[in-house]
Amino acid sequence: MDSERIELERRLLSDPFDRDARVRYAQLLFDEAEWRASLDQWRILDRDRTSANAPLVMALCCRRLDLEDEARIHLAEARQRPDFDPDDPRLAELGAGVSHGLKVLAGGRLDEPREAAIVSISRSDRVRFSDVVGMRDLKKILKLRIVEPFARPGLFDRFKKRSGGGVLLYGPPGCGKTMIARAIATECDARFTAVGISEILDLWVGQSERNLASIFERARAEAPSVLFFDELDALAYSRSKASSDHTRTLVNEFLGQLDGFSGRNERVLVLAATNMPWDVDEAMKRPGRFDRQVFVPPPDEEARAEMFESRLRDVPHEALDPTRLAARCPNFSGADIDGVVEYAKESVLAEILEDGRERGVRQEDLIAGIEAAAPSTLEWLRTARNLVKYGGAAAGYKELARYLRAANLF
Amino acid sequence: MKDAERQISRLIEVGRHAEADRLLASELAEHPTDPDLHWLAARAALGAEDDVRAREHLEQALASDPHHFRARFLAFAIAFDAERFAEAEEIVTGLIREHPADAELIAWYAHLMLRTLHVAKARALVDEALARDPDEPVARRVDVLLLTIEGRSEHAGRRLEELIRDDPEGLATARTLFLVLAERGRHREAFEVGRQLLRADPANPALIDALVELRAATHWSALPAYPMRRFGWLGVAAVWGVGVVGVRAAASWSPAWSVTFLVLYLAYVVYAWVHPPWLKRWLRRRGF
Repeated sequence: MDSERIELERRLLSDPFDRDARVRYAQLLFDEAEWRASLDQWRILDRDRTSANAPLVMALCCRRLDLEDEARIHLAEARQRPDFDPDDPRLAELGAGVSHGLKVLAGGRLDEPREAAIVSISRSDRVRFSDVVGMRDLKKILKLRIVEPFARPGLFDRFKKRSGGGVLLYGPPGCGKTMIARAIATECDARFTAVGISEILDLWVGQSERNLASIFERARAEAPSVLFFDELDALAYSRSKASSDHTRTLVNEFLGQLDGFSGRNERVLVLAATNMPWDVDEAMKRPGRFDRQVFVPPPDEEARAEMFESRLRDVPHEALDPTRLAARCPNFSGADIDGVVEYAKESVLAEILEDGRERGVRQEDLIAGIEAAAPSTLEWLRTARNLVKYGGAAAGYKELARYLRAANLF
Repeated sequence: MKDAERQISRLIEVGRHAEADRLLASELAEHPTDPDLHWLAARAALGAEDDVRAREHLEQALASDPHHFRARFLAFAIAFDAERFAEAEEIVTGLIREHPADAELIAWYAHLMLRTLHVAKARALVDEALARDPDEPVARRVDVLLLTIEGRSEHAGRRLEELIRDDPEGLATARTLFLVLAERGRHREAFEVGRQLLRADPANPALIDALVELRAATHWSALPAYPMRRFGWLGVAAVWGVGVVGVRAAASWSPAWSVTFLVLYLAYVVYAWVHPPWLKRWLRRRGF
C-alpha cells in the first residue's frame, strides 16, 4: 500500500493534472481513513463538476469528519449530476445513522432539491396559532393580513387584495418568530419549507444563487406553499454595506426570485425573519417583495405567565402565582424565562443539599431569579429605539414604535 | 482565497461570527499555523467585539508570516479606529515601503494624516494616490474632504457629485457627503443624510451625538443664537461689541432705555449660555 501511495504521490508531483493518478490517490486516502486529505483531493477532482462520484465520496468524508452541513451539500450536489445512481449502495450508508436530512436525501427523487435545505413541516410538527401563547393582537393582525388572503383568495380578490407575496417578521431574538412562521403555514394549510443560511451560502461561487433558485422553483411547483427564510439579514445583506461581490450577486438573485423573473409566485407566500431589519437590503422591502413587515415583540404578560406554568409543570413546586411573576419581568424573552426557572431550581437544590430538607420551588425563588436576570431583549430594543427615535424610520416601524412607547422605552 | 476561507469571509461580512468561528475552529485544527485563517479569526473576533482575541490571532498570523499583508493591514485598521495614530502610521508606512505603488495604502495614509490634521501632508499623499489610481475610492473620498477643508467648495462639489454618481448607495459615500455638508454649514441636508446613515447603523452612538448637534443647530428656538453658531468666537465678539455699544447708546438716550436694553441683553446672554445644552438634552430625550 505504501509503495503505491509513494508512486501516486510521485506521479502527481511530476504531473498534477494526471487525473487517473489523482482519483486513485484520493480513493487510497479514503481507504486509509485519511478523510480530510481525501476530501481535499476529491475537491480538486470535482472542479469540472461532471461526475456524481466525487461529491458522493466527499459527502462520506464530511460525514466521517462530523461536518454534517457540508455532507448534505455534497450529497445534494451529487444528486444533481446526470450520472447519479439512486441505487448506489453508498447512499444507504449515508442514510443510515446520520442526521434526519441525510436520511431523507438518500431516498429522494433526482429532481428534488435537497431535503436538508428545505425542511418541510411534518404533521406532528404542525403549530397552530392556538399553540402560540399570548400575543393576541399580533395573531389577529397576522390572520387578517396574511392567513385569510391566502386561505380565501376569492374573497380577497373581489376586494382587490392579493394573496402570497412577502412578509418580514422582525423582532428581538428568542421571541418566537420561527414558531409564528410555522403557525402561519399551518393556518394557511400550505406546505411549509424552512430555509436557513447554511443551506443557501455555499463554498462555490454561484452555487448560493443556484440553491436559492432551486428552492423557489420547488415552492412554485408545490403551490400553495410557504417559504420561510430565517435570518434574512444574512441572505439579503444590505448591498450598501457589503464589500464582496458574492453578497451583492446573491441579493440580486433573491430580488429576481421575489419579483418572479423566473416564474410566477402566485400562491407562494414568502416569509422571512430577522433580528436586524436594518441590515436587510432596502430593495427587499419595496412593494411586491417583503412589503409587509410585522414586529414580533417579546412575549406579553399572558404569554410569560403561560411560560412559567409550562416550565414548572413537572417540577416540584409550592403555590405559585404566574401572573404576578409575569408582571415582574417585562420584556423577558422565552430564553430569559428559562434562565429564571433554572436559577430558581438551582437555588432550591443548593438549599436542599445544604440542610437536607426537601421542598419545591417557591414564588420567592422565582422572584430572586427574575431580580438576578436582565431581559436579553433590552439591547435590541434600545438599538431599535434609535431607529425610530432618531433615525426617522417610525413610518416603516409603526408597530415597533407603538410597542416602545407602551413599554416606556421610547 | 481558498473555498473555506471564502465561506468564512462571507459569514463574517454578514455578521455571522459564531458560524464563522465554528468553521474557523475546524479549519484551524487542521492548519494551526495558517496565517490566512488567523487573519480571518481576527476579523471574526473583531466583529464580535472581542479585541483581545483579535489581537491574539493577529499576533499568531504575523508570527507565522511576518510579511502577511492582510494581517498587517488589519492591524493598521484596528490602530486607526482605536486612535492609536502613531502605531497606525508605523504600520502603514512599513506597508508602503514594501508596496510603494499601492494607491489604496497611500490613500489610507492620507486619511490618517487628515485625522491628525496634517492637511498639507494629507493633500500631497492623496494627490500621489490619485496619480497612481484615479479611481481609488478611499483616495477620492479623502480628496473630497480635503477640498472642503481647503475651502475649494466648487471642486469639492464636483468631486462629490462624481463619487455619488459612481456609488450612489455606498455607505462610505454617504458618510463623506454627511461630513462635507456638516463642514459647509448645510446642517439641514447633513441632518437628513445622517438620519439615513443611522437607519443603516442604529447602534452608532457617535452618529446619534452628531445628529443631536445638527438638529439643535437647525431648531427654530436656536435661531437667536445664529451669529455665534455661524461665526464662532467672531460672533461672540460681535455680540459683546453690540452689547457695549448698545448700552452706551441707550444710556445717552435715556437711563430707562439703558436698563431695558441691559435686561434684554443679559437675558440674551443667559439664553445663549443655557439654551444649547438644554435643547440638546431635550432633543435626546424626545427624539426627532
